[in-house]
Amino acid sequence: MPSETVLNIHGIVKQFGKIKAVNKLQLEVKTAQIFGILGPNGSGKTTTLSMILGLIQPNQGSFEWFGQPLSPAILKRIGSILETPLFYPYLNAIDNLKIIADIKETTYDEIPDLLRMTGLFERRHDAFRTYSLGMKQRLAIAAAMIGNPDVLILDEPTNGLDPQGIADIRAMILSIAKQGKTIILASHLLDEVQKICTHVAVMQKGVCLYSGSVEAIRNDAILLEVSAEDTDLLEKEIQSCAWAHLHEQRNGLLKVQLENAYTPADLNAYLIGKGVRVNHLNTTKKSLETHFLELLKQQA
Amino acid sequence: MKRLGLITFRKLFKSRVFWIMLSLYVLSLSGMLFGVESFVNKIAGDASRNSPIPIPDFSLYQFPYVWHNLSYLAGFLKVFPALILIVFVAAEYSYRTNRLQIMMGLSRGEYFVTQGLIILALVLFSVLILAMWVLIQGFLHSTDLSLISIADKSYFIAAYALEITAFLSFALLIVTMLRRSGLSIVTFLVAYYVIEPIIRFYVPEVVARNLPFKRIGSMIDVPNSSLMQLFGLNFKTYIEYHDLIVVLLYTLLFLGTSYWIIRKRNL
Repeated sequence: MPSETVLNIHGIVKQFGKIKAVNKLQLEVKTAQIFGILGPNGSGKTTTLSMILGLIQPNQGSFEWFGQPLSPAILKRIGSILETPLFYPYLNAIDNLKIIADIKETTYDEIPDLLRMTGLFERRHDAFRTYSLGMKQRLAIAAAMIGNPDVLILDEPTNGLDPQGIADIRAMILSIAKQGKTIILASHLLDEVQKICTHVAVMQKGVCLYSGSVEAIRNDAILLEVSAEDTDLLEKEIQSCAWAHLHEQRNGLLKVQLENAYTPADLNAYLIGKGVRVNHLNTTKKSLETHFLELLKQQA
Repeated sequence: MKRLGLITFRKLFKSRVFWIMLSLYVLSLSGMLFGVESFVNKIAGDASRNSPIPIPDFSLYQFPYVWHNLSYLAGFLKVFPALILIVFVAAEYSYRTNRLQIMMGLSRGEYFVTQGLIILALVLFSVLILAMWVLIQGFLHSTDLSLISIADKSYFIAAYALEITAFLSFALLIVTMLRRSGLSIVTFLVAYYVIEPIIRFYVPEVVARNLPFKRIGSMIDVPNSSLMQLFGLNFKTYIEYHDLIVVLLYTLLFLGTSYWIIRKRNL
């Protein structure tokens, strides 16, 4: 069960006039992943989410939820927030949530708990339009949780919130994830994806640049700083090593990236075998940020 | 269906704007249906002073003619519920709650039905108010209170129900196409009061007679033919099946097109 595919996207394309908002996107999301879709504004994240929620039609390609085409029955298993929170401004929190419970054909029983969880219980009788942005966003999360969905789709859930609001929402997402739900989170904030997500797809201009686990990016992002008395020999041996790649060399300090299966200890052993005496060996992590920017740069 | 009713109920009946608009409608309609007789008699009285033949006082409120008279009059205020409908359907687009509902798992067909339910609610409301006034005035002013006399022309109220249903369906089509409240209201009013009358003026009689607003409005013809016959005019004192069918077809066309748009549209 743990690796059951929740969402499978096969090469969807969405064109708005001349612009390809999403171009041949290929993604797979599995159960219990927290899947981040990371990309700058206008990279096609919201368009992608709108398509997989059936709000807009792709021009090409297809996708499946739980191995089936999209239907209202499947949408009832998905809780979602797209961009700004959408509610009836003149209705209070309870009535707004009741409408959603009716749509999802579920009971009203969980509404008080959801309001408590999102800290809106005290204000439950006030009209939605009197809420602050943070409260609106929290109500949107409560709405997404109605009917105990298997999947949560969150589009920029912390957009426009103050630091406390951001922290609250993130904590909420993590606690929901602990219940074993699959979460798809679109964000332009790297830090957010890094802190919350297990998997990530990096998008730019409608194209997916990278897709994989956040952990793999982190490993990928380990750099070693090496120096030796005989810099030339060190450089020569590293260049002839199949699993170590020289990144840059500055003042006798070499930055080396290892392939995934290899550790700094392996490099040390290898160099000793070649008669290179290392006098400095240090691991540094490339931040996800640098990695992300590199990905974007490679593409540009 | 109960579920869609509940959703619509919550949206409408908890809105203060809805109640204000509805109260204004009920007040105008009631005022008109209550006061029309004294108004008509005053005009007739003024006219008879200068007239060689005396025009007798007459009652609009006698069974069975009251059904026809008041149904005809109530038709003049059908713009009111059309505006209420436009305001509420357009609100879904401006709040983008249409999007919310679809992504939470309401099918587009069900979404269309919730809009249809607003029409149904407004029609039922109008019919109820009309029926109430017909019965009150009828019982107060009729001499013949036999069941036959009371029930004889009650089918006019069904024709009235169809009249506003058709009219509101057109309003739904306009607001579904245009989505914005102000724009839809202006377009709707211009289509009703300006564009169709102008078209009617230029096209052959056969076509003019069958244009939607004309057809919808002429289903219930001008009442009190005895008075009008004095002037040599003849009006229908009954509802023609042919009219019913054409209006019904228009209604289906408007609703069908609205549904088609909702099905196809990117949200």
